Amino acid sequence: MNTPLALGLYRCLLAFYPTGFRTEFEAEMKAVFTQALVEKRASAVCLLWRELRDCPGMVWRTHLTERRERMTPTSSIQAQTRPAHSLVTASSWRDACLAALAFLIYLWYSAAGVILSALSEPLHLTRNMQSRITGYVAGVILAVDLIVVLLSWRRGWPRWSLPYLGVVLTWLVLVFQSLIKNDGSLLIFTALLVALIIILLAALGSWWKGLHSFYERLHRDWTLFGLVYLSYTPWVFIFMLDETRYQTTGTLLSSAILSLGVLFYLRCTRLGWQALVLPVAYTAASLVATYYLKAYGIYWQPFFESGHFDMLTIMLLLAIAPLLVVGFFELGRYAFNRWLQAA
Amino acid sequence: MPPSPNALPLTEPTLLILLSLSPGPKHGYAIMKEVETLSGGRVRLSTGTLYGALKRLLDEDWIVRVDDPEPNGTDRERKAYSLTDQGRYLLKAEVDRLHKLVSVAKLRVVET
Repeated sequence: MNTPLALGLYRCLLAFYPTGFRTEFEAEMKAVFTQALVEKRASAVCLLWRELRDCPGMVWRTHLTERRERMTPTSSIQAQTRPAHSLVTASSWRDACLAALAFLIYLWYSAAGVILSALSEPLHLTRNMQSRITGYVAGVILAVDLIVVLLSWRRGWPRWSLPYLGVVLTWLVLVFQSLIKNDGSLLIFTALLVALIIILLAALGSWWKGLHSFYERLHRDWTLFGLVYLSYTPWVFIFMLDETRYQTTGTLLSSAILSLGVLFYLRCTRLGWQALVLPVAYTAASLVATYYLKAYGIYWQPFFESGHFDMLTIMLLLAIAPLLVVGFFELGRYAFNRWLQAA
Repeated sequence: MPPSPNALPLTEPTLLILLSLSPGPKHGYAIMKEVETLSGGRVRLSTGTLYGALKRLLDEDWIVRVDDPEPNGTDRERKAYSLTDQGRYLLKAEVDRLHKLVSVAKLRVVET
């Protein structure tokens, strides 16, 4: 085996060591290995085999040591301070209100439908949506949405803009569904598709510069996934309450609850509260919507056995899925660190 | 401050590394060669084991980094390692422990 190849393989082995260890010793280790190769103290294969044999144990040990060092507070101030990851920066009131408005977009649409359609049939909103005038209104709202999304893209996806992205994705998925002749009754299909697109965008952002800030933002705070995703839910309430007497009231109340949830979410300074606010707002909004379904009397079967309950629960689980995954991961890490401290 | 008695016994590579540093400061490659010589070719350290042990010894303040006493002109930042007072104390304690152990073992072997 020639020297450059042996050195290349050795460099690959060094990559497994933790960063701190490499910063401190990598240059020296390379120099020692090179000298051993040059002085032919043993064959290159033999030297490499020796390194390979000891590598797993040493890598494991050095990683443990480095981790333990990181966990040890270096000063009393550090020991007393709350861990940085549990604190988040609250958005301004203006940004929080802007984000909350995204959840009311469907209401603007419905309100426009009510105003513009004949007064004799003001409550059949879904039918009104199909009319030409409400079509124009929908077009204007979508155009505004798209502009907001494009602007926020240029500004590195500020948090307040994320619900607008969710709204645009919902529109795109609905258009796609109409193209494949799905009338939108399969709400869970739409919900899954929206969630999948958000995950794909985040994954794309890990290597494509254009979406890198979106990926970074979600990677730092996985609760933001719920913020994007839940902007799809007002659609669900519209479909659920479609053609019922309480469509406007139900949708208004549910969307208002979601908006309030978003407002609190963006004003929160604690990650724990943030993680809680959105699921709670969503659950409350769902309960209000289903209450109106019951009141209208179209619920002949118990709610908990109905298809709506399944769908709403699946949507809630989808909204908090990344958070659950990260939560379990953090829990595992916490347990591991405790074990490490005890060992 | 003398090292904690819990530090003993030392592992064979650690003992050999400390022994190799006993006469004076040495750089990484010299330590590797010395360890091989001291052990009669039985212990051949890989760079991973050597620097893992050196890091632990540095963290425990048993050795320190010093300027290389024999710079070869090619490695601009080659560092050497030297025993601290603590390290020397610990090495002596380990050698005493081994000496006692060997004495007891010898007596037993003669008796049987």
